[in-house]
Amino acid sequence: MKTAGERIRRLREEREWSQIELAKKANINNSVLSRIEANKRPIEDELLVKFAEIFNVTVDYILCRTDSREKPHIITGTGDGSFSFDKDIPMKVREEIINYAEYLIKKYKEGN
Amino acid sequence: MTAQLYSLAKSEGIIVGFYEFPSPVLLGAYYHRSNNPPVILLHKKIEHRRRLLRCIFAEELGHHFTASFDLMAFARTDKKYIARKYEKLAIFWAVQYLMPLDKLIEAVNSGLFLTHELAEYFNVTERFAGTGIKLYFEKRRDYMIKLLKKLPEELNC
Repeated sequence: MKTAGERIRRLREEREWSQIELAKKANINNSVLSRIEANKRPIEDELLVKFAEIFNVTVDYILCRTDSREKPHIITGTGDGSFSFDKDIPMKVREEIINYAEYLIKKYKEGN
Repeated sequence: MTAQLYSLAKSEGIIVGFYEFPSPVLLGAYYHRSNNPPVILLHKKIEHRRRLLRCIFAEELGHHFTASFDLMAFARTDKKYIARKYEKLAIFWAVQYLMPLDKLIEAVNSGLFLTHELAEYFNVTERFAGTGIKLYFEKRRDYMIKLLKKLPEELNC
């Protein structure tokens, strides 16, 4: 069975990073990372989000809830036909919007 | 006219929902995950602002019709550039849908020059009308100059 620890290890190895390198990027101790990869330690939410950002995959992928690595893409209009492209949307806001959209999809599928 | 947007969305299998966005700058979103129906979210606060709603709705539909996998692949190499290109494509789609060029030329030739007049004529916001005219001049300038009785410089947009 796949585990989150295995996914992180694999993502790391694909990039040919050592545990020390990844631990540094995630700002954690490499012994912590080693225990996470060995499934001996749960991953805190905040760290999970960080890993997802580092590897550019979804949190769901790391948690083995999906096999698709692709981040669903979300495009936003700031409205009124004006061009405001560079407004970065905070992760939390993005996640909330995605959750709501996914909720609608689920409801829609249940109704059909 | 908004009904037309709804029925277009419906025929495309898009789920449309009103939603209290957790950010004041966002008025709409288009969301698509492979093998799932696409979703357009519109901010609740614009539900009754008809013109603005039409513009935002059309822009999000524009994303639906202009997005492609190629573009997604691009997005990974240079996000910012693609975001620009992407957004512009969607807006231009919306402009063409809500203010078709031939109708615009007709309107201008019949004496509507001001942004607010055109906005009223096309039932869009003033900013949208202004953006639309700018985009048309950018992309179809020669065609427009040929057909317009008044030169673009004289238009108050």
